[in-house]
Amino acid sequence: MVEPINISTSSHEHLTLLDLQLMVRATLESRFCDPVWISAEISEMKVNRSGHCYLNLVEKGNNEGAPRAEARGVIWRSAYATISRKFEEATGAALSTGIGVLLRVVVTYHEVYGFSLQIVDIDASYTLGEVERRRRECIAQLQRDGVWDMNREIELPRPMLRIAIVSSATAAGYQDFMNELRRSAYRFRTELFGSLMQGEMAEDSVIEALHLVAEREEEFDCVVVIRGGGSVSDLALFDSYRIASHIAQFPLPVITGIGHDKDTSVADLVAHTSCKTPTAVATLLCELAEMEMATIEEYSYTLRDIVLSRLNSERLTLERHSAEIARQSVVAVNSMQHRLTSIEESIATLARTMIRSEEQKLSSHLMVVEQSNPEIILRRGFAIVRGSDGRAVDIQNIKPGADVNIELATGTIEANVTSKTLR
Amino acid sequence: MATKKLTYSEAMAEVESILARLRSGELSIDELTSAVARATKLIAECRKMLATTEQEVEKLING
Repeated sequence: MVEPINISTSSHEHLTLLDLQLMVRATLESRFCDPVWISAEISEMKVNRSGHCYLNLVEKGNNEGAPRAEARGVIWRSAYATISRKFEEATGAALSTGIGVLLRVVVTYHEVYGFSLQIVDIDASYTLGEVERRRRECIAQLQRDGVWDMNREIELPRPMLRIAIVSSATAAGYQDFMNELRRSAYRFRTELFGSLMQGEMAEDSVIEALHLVAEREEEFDCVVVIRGGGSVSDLALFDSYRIASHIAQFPLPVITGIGHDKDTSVADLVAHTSCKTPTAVATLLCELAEMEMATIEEYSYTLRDIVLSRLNSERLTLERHSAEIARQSVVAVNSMQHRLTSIEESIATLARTMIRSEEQKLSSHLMVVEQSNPEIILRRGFAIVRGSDGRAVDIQNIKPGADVNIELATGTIEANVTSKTLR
Repeated sequence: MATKKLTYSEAMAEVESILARLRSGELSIDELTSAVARATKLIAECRKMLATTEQEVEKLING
């Protein structure tokens, strides 16, 4: 138990303000003669022109509401350089507001400035632990929300050439990203949605930029969130539940390149794809475009093969048809020739038959004609009796006593009609 | 006497007409000789034409 201080005063024997303050100071300094380790959160922080760092330290309630304790703190210029460097080396981030810290402090009291904690050392591993604890809480919350895998489950559009960029125009990483893209043979269309990437306003700024992209999601294939390399980053910005939740539920695939030296941020974990640096993001986009081009080329070769093979098959079919036509036409011509030959033969036969028949007819006609020949008739013993007028005698008109000429085959006889008898 | 060259059909028709007259006996003895001579001549011509036709047909057929 600390021994109570017994100060006896009355309205006649009082202390001045300074007396009291000096007493408080002396008491505190005698009680807290050695520095003590305390945990707190930096709620405000400012480095003045002379290089001293003034802070406001708080201990928040369970619901992150009103502080349960609050105190001013200071890191003198002589200690600030060492403390801040030590913190940055260990955490990769600058000492800043909103983070939990474990500080070695000297309790001081000043009659004018009052109670203050002079910070003489810092244990960065506590902050790392704090960050890790919050990170785990954040991951657990995102998993409970059911959004943990949402962005990663989005299928990457093909091709991926319309890129929305959430970054700061002045960030070195943004320039690296753009330079890498420009080196590519593919024409990417990029649009920067400017955002603060560090400082207290960064969380709201990143979320606002994401909102602006989401409003025009149809115009983009993906969104890349990139941050400048080299500069010391805000430790917990991309472990922020709000940013991670927005990224996880973002309608387009999100690719991060936020340059963490150490752990992967929660934003990296929920993003569709995460790369170490902005340049790596650009390289990835170029590789994807190349793969796409290779696929297209492969398809085009396949297509060409299919077309060529089809053409070949059609050509073979045509050749087969053409050969068949040639064969069939030979068959047709042959058959026609057979027919013609047969017709020809028929014609010849018919013609010959006709000619023979005509010849027979002529022979038979000649025979008849020859039998009518008077010479032949005479040779058979017949005679022609002609009157004095030289015409063949008509038995009706001839009278006895008339002279007649009788023609025989072998000569003629002059005779006189003595009598006639009619038959 | 320049006579028009008869076709085979015309010649044959005339021969047949002479034959018909011969068969009917309507020809007089005096006409007979000339009719026989005419028919004989026509038949000879027909035979010639027939021979020519046969030759041409054979030529055409045997190409």
